[in-house]
Amino acid sequence: MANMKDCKRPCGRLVLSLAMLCSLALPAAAQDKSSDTKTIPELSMDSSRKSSDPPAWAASNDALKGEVWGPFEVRQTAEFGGRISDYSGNTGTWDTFVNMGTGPRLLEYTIDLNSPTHAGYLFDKFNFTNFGYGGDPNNLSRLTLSKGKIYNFGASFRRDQNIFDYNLFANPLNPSNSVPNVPIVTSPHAFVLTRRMYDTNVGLFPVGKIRIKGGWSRVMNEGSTYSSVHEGTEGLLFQPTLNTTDNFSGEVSFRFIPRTSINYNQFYTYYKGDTSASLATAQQQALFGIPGFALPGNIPVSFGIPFNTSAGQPCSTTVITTTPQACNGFFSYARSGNLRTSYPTEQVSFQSNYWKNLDLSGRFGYSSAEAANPAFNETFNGLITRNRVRAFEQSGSSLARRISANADFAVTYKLTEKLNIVNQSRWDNFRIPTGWNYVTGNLVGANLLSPANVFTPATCPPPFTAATCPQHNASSPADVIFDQLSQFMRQETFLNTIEVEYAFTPKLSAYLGYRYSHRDILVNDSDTQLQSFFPGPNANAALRGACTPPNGTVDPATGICTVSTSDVGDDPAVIINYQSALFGISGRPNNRIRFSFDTELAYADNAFTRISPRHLQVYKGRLTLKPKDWWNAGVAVNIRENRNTTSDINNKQHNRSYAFTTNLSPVNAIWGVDLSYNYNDVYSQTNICFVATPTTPGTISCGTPFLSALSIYNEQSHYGSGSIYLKPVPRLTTTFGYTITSSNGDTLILNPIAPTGPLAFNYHLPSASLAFDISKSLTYKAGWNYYDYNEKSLPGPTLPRDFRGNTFTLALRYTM
Amino acid sequence: MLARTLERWLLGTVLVLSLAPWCVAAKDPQGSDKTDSAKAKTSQPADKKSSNSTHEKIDPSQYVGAETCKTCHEDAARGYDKGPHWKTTLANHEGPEWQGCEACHGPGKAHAESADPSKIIRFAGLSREESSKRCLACHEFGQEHANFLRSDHLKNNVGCVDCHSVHTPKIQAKLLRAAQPQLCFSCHADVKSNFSMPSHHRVNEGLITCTNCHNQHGGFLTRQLRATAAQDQVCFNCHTDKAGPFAFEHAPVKTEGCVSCHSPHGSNNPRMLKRSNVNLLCLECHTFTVDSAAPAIPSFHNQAQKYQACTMCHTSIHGSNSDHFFFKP
Repeated sequence: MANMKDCKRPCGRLVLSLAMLCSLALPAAAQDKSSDTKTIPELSMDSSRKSSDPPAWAASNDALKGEVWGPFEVRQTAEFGGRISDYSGNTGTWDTFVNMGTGPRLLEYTIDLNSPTHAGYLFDKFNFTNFGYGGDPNNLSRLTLSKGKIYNFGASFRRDQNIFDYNLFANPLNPSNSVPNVPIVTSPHAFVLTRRMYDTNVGLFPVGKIRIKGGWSRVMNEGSTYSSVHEGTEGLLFQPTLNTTDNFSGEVSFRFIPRTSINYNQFYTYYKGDTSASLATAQQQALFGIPGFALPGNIPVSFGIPFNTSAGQPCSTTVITTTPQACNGFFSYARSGNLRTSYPTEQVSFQSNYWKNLDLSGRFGYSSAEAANPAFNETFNGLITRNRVRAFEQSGSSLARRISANADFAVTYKLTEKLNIVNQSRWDNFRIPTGWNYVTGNLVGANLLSPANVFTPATCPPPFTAATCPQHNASSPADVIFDQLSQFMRQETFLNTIEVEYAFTPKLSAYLGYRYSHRDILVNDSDTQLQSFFPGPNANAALRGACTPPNGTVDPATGICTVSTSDVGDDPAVIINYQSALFGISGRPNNRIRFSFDTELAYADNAFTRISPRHLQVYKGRLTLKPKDWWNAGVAVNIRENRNTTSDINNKQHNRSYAFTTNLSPVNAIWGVDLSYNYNDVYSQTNICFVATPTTPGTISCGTPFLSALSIYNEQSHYGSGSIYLKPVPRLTTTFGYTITSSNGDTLILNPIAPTGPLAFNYHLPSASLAFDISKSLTYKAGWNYYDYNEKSLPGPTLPRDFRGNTFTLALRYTM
Repeated sequence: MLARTLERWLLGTVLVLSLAPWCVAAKDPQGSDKTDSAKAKTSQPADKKSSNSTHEKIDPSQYVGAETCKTCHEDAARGYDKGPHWKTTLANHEGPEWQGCEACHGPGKAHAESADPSKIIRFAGLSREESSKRCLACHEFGQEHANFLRSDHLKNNVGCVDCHSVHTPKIQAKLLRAAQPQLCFSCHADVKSNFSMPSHHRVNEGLITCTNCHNQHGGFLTRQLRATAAQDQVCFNCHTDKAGPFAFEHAPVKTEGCVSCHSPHGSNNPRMLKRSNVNLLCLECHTFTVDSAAPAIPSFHNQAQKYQACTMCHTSIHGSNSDHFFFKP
């Protein structure tokens, strides 16, 4: 297990990394001839994800001969075909990670019209491209048009079908000794969501003194999700999901002052959230492996998701087998509310290098958002055993605002040909005042089959012991609650970075900087309640909760105790001063080599969360090489070390990444190779204090019943990727590829039956493809992808998440 | 007290540094007539190092126009006509120094007459800062490129021509040398693996690009990140339902950012979380401690048998409009 005890190891690795960078730089440094106008070669990534051509075809249509239609050169490609997929193993994980089905597809279609003489009537350029239609999870269409100095227009549509069902997520990990034994085989928070993203933008007079831009975009999430709600037990909910966000933007840019632009922007964002929730039906619960349950009298009931009867979930083994009506359970649950948020924003910005040796830019923005949920409603019918709530209804409204003002100012002052001073300042202030008013009515009952008695003077007269009285217990909440909550949150940030940049030569430069930030964070809340406690099953039953003497007294006539409570959380502001030293050096000894090294060493005198760093070290080194025009290589080292060494916290984290990549693609050669490797090392430890029975091994007491331990998370991942393309004969191009992600690690296991799951796995992704030119304009393509996800740990009390699958892609590609 | 003093000192320094260059530079505006006339006397290419601007007025007779260039540079002209730069010839309100090939390469008369490569500005011979400044002479004036001179890219010797090829682009849109994300991966090799992890943003699939979240040309934020229009986190551009404002905010979402809990490029853990076990992630903050105001877990949250995932109950952990414990959205 890697542990960050001090700086020695990261520093040692840093030195090693730099040495590696330097050693790699030497042999290539001798070669410095080429122009660097060559494009970067690339290979097909994954033929089943989208249509990506092997390098025998150009990535854009420019290499095609095309046809002449009037004033336009027209080039087209169309790739029709289909996919054949099969898999074995866990359907949910396959859908979450791959989600590739069988069926016909429009794998790609692109049409490009270009008027070389710029003589088009409505446009000089027209480009329309698509991929993924017919059933792939990701589809995209993009349209661009332009006409000289009159306009540019762009529009796009993107669709992402996102299926999530990783069964360890939000899984109660029901133990096998529960009676009944109910393993949850699907993530209780599984979802099928489709996100559609629309973007349009238009720019008028792109080379004028006044330039105008406008745009509209929409993000729409639609689908069905499952969730859970805690009411005694955790009930499974079904949520038809729909939310839509529209963004409108406009910009006017004025360019009357030499080398200066002044821009004014207006943005308006409108969000509509129309997601509701209700208790999942018996059929929906069966999808998760939850059997149907019935109370005596064959009354259907849902006992929720957790089944750990030895721990009392949803009740003890004895109760659920003999008197299930005494269990926590749901008959029904529903929730609704329509959230509407509007976000108007204004912004003024400028950029200028009017004065010699001085480059300036700045912006100021103001935004005032308002989110209103005017008619929230929630109803529950079931039983919460600890307080005997049999039913409740809660309704109310909320209003939240976010007022934000922010400004940026940046200046570069060129003192000499070699020396620059750069200063960037940012001021950002937002505050979020919110309020929530609600009314809750609770009805209580002894068990699921007991009536939820409504209190009235007629049915529950003094001495309030009638069977028709509400059957409270000492933990029952107030019967009627008027609640008014408010929260205020504010953060003011001032951030300034000053750097001195020095160019030793035109090919070697360095900078030294200092960053200071000051944050002032305030979070306050208050809660005022008017609570009414009804009597039953005895006269003193109203003297409970907030009415417990001496806080409340009972009205002898009605038996009701009413009390007003107020709770104000007035936490002091959290002030954080953060200081960083910055240093970097970069060089380009010749056009074939570039290297850079950046570091940031930071200290903060406070932290808002326990895992926010008070000490930070960042080291980044990059080396890119181009030994030949057809050969690229790169090395990257990225090390981040976080610490909060406050003794009570003892938080240490690191994220270290060492990567290498190379790409060989000789022009017009019959072969090409692409190789990548990355080693990722993630580590975190923090002192935590929690409750666990039975006691988690290796813990010590931090005050009964709490246990203290170091929450270690340690993950090492190897990523390797290799692909090769071969063109043995002019008409045939083949590619072979293999990608693996292999992870190992360990973590503090709080629940003895919890598997490490995604912490240790192998994910193999081999692939192959071929393309055969049938004629000059027609190509047959075939692709194969194999997916093998294999977790190394035991599956735990649910289904294994492993899967293996194949996807075959067959297509005909037409080019013009 | 010390912090307050330090803060005031810093603010003063920043103010002085911000204003001083204005005062100094105001004495020497680069667009003055004096400079113009001095430049007009030379037939050499424009001083490539003198300022951000390439468009300094030079004797118009030193410009020959794009059509003259095309007679020799046919291949380059083809790319030029196909790309957006031909539009500079339509900027009739500007002088010849703003138009055609010479807008980038400087006045071409001497070169055209002698065919001497040294008498024209060639980008291959310029440093990345110099060549980028020639591009910025036109492109700097908009919010997208306004801070390129201060960007992490240029600071690390990555200039415009490293990603763009004006004459022979592989991707015509934006004149790119390669398509995203391969273009970015060619330097950011350490990020490439993140997008092959089981949970990742759909970058390799072509749905989104690196530049949806990062402004490759630099901006006011660290890591060259973009932001929403209201200067909130860029994540909220797509994950609009997490943006709020909420009646009950989970404060770190707004103050520390999504990256406190998520790895934005990709993760081995579901939902791109930083930990494989959600509870461990929550406990790192929500624990009994003297150093944090975060509420600690109550004594009935038995981690060994029940409450296996905090988010089973606290489902609306990004913020809620109906429950201050985040039980409901």
